[in-house]
Amino acid sequence: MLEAHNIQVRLGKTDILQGIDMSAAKGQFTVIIGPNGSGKTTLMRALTGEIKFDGSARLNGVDIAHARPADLAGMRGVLPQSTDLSFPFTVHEVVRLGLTMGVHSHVDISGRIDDALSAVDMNGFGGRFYQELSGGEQQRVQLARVLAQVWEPVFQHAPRCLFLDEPISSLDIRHQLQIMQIARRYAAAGGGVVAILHDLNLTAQFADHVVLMHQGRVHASGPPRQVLTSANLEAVYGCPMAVSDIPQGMDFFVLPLIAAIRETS
Amino acid sequence: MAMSSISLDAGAPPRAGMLAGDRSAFARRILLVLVVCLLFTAVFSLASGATDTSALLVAWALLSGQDSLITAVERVVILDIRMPRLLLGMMIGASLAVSGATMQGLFRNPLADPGIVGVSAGAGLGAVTFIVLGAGVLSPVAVLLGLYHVPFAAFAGGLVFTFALYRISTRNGRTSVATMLLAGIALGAMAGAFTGLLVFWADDQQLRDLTFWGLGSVAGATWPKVLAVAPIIVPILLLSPFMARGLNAMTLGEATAQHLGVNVQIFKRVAIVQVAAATGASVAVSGGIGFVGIVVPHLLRLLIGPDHRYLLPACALLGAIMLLFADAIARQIVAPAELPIGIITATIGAPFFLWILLRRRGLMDI
Repeated sequence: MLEAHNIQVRLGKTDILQGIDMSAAKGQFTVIIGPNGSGKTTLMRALTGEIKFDGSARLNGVDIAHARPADLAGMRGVLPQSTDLSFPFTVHEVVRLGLTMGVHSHVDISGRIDDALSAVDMNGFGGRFYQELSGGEQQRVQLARVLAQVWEPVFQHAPRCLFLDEPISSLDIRHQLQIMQIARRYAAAGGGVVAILHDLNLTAQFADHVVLMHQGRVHASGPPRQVLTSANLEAVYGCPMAVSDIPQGMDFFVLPLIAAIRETS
Repeated sequence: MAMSSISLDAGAPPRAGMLAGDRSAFARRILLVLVVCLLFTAVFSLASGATDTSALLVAWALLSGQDSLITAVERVVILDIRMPRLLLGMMIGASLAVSGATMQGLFRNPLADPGIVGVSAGAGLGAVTFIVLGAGVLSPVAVLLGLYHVPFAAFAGGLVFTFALYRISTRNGRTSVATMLLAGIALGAMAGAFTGLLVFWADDQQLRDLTFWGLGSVAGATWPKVLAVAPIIVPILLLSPFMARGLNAMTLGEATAQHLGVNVQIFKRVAIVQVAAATGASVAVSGGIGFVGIVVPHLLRLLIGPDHRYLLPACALLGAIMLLFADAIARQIVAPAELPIGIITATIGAPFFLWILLRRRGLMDI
């Protein structure tokens, strides 16, 4: 669904991305990980058509660099790391902004907005003012806006894609898991999801495909088990990591019961 | 607490249930109320002035074509003096309020107003350039553009200044309020300096023209002036509803607007040209009428919320109403003389601007 070859981005005199090859398939949850400054966000900004880049990137066969914004908006939704809102919109009105463009002629708009808010556990918040919400609630409202934009994972026989830049960074553990499940369900229904995450455990648990970035290049990519190895992670993050073992010297730690929640959903 | 105080800014109270947070039905009702208000204000404005005429009688006489009901003097007063003044006032009020709202949406800030950030000063510089040099160095251009040369020059001046302001104050899709206001001061001062230089060169007749023009007034309204700005302002007002979705999306920032399907580069250019043209046309015929573009959109955001689909038409209506009211005050307060309308709008608008500034001081980086 998403195919990128030799993506290069230069900002000023710095090469931020130096030839990235990656792909994301429909029906899969693709997670981009890597240390700070490895180019994850820049890569996502290139793949969403936000910044110029060299190389080729196609979404459902459409050239991202030259596509009309309105065409891209019908195929993919983007959740940025942070969003400011300059005027006092209500939560309902913010989610409605997701329906700015694209094919929405036969949509029950109010119903769609309520569905999107329910999906992120924010039902009943429609009448609240966005600026009054906590950071985590604002993040979830923004995700609802993105979901409202590309609600059907497959639309007119073409898969759609969610691009999520650190979607869970300001959320508590319950909502982190909930967002991960939304991503999984979106992929399970035939859409694609590309997310930047910092949490390696959640990545291991939820991702189908992992892209590990380091200094503007792809260090490794593939299924989580193949990518999330001690050797890879140590090379990239520069600190020793134990994988699949209880770290030595620790006799006590908190591990969310991810598996249990996944099964009850 | 700073964060919660923004709710005071935020308009109609939220409702419960399915439609919670959807203020569009309320906004549509307000639009209807504003249309009715504008009609009443227009009739009132036609009927009031030095010659006392009953508003109803005038309306009836004009609508039914029964000229015998009003005298010949009344007819001239109404059709050739008050009518163009009414139309000019409505167009300028609407265009100032809509360009204020558009600029605030584009800059993502409620304090952006063509009058405050130097765009009007730039438009003024353009207009003064042609008033002073139109008969001399620039006469070929003036002849070529005919009736439209001053509005066109004001548009060009406004365009250059709006564009410069946007380039200076916006980086990576974010607008710094402090930079915007400071750049506005600098651009305004620059326009003032060049305008001063031109005034220094002007002869006595030109100085007279400049003085009356600069005070900001719709008093000199004539049919030619109406015809000079109508082809600019009316299309802009008709175009503005098509800008609403883009302006709504822009409140989330340029990048998100693009993700939502707005072609941001083209949209920004259209918005800048629109603001410059509306401001230029208004400044060209009425001089500097300040603060309409900031007071009207802000009041309406309090009332119906910031959704531009309703905000822009509401601004056009309330802007027209406010300007007609200010004009009525200007005509009555020192009758039989008249105050320039710019003095009225500044007297009301400047404290209002400070009030917004003080309320938002803790909230944003201003």
